[in-house]
Amino acid sequence: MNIDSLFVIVISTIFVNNFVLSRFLGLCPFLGVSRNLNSAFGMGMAVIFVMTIASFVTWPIYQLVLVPYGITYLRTIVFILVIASLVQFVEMVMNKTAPALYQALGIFLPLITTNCAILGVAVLNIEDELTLIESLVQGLSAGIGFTLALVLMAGIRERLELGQVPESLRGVPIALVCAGLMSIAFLGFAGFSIK
Amino acid sequence: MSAWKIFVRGLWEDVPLFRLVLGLCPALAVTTSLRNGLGMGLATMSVLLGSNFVVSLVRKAIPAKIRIPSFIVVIASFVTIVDLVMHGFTPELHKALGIFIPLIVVNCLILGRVEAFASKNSLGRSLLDAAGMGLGFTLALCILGSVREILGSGTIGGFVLTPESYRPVLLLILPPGGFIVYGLLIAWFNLLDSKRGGR
Amino acid sequence: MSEIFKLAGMLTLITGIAATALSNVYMLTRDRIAQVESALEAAARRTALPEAVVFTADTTADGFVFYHGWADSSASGEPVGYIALALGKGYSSRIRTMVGVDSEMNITGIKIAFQQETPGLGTRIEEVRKGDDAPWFQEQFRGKILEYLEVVRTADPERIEAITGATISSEAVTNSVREAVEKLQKVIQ
Repeated sequence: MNIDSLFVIVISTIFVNNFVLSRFLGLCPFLGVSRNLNSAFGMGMAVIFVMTIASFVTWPIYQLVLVPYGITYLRTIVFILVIASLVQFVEMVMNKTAPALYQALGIFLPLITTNCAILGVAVLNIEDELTLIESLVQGLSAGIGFTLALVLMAGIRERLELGQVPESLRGVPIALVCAGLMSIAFLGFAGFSIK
Repeated sequence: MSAWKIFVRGLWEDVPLFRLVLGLCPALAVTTSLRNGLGMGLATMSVLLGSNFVVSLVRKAIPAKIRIPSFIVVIASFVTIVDLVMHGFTPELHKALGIFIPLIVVNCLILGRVEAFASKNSLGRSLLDAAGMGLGFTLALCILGSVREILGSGTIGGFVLTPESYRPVLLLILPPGGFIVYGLLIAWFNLLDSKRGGR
Repeated sequence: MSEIFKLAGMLTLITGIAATALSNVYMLTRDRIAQVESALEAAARRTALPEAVVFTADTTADGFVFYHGWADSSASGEPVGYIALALGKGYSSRIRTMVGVDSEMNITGIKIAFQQETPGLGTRIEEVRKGDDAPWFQEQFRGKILEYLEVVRTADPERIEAITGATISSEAVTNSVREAVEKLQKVIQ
């Protein structure tokens, strides 16, 4: 593990294997919060924060508690409870320090718990057999990638609102088609390797 | 609401994925083939049935303030059970679905049904709701999986369907294809619904 | 204040019940899962070194695990070959491949044990063509030697033909196989 491998993780997690557009993680908030650029950005920040801390907390719990005691099958329960607590904590902090953002995000804040991207990155850190630092970097990059996709989508959707969309496509369907086109664009990053 | 209505609701009026836009992540990731879509649907339905069962059974005993964490523990337990059982008895499917099996725990569909229905209704009705929604979700996944598999690989359930001269649209089983096919299917569903004079 | 303790206690109780239930299910399925996994591994070893009927494990000082393969069930005489597990970072997963070599370090076969590459592209490393009974991408490794273990675009009897559109997956497998053979070479020769 060195700076090179960390750099590879950053680039591949944000662009090549973008969590939303390539791995299909984090779709519910991706479609739910991307109507408005400001709330998209705020949500993205919250997710980056939760993902990074979640990666940092779940890794040692897995390696230092679950593995030595042979109870790795409790991974799902333990991880999701840790994440739920973290989100609760972030909610309380945000309520005190940035109440306007807290109001704007509304129901979507507690929904970060069910954001599959957070549990996803925690599980991926283990499956990819990363070290603690590498997990931290992957968590941070995954959050950044998520925010990137979210903000791009919000920018597009704000304009879509003003466009003439056929009735049956209005809302979620056209947003999905846009996501598909964005995904094609991100496919262009495939094959990007650092020698 | 009659028992039949509870069950049928999940199959058309409130069908997950096409009407209730919930549980998206697994829907797009695993529907590269009919078999995977079916497998994921059945796994999710099992978790939904189990969770609705338990929560409905103990709903009066759980203090309101810790409902959500308790529901999460129940759901996560069933997900772990399904994970272990699949690993032992359907290893191929288990490998194919990969990390999306543990991710069933954050499928908003399950938490949604548990919170909205099972925590407030009797055992029998909760099971019906779970069966209906689970079946609806499975059907939606099968449709999505079939479309992507037929057009994207030229096969269905592993059987080659199209002649040699058909070059499959590979894009459809890649991520962009997932988004686009799903979006178009919802639009088509909306169209059908408005033609029938729905809402 | 006491309410918090009561709630926390309740939640702990619920979690405790869940954990107990889960450990029971785990006990029930554990053997079955182990059976499934070892059957897969045994099949992989047979594909990688078809001539061997018995395998014995061995480890080097720095923890490299490999197997001696014997044609004789009593594991006597000279081993017909060796097997090691190759690990490579693929496009979207860590690919695990079982690699078999004979005593001259010629590849006797490989079997991909685990991959989660892009469906339709990377997953073609396990694709079996109509009429074949084994994945062509893996079969082509049989008989190849270390020097020519590189990926090329067009069919080459000595080198490894890549999968169109899945260069990264093809290279990941080939590179990991090469590494494994090099490690075996160091140990054996």
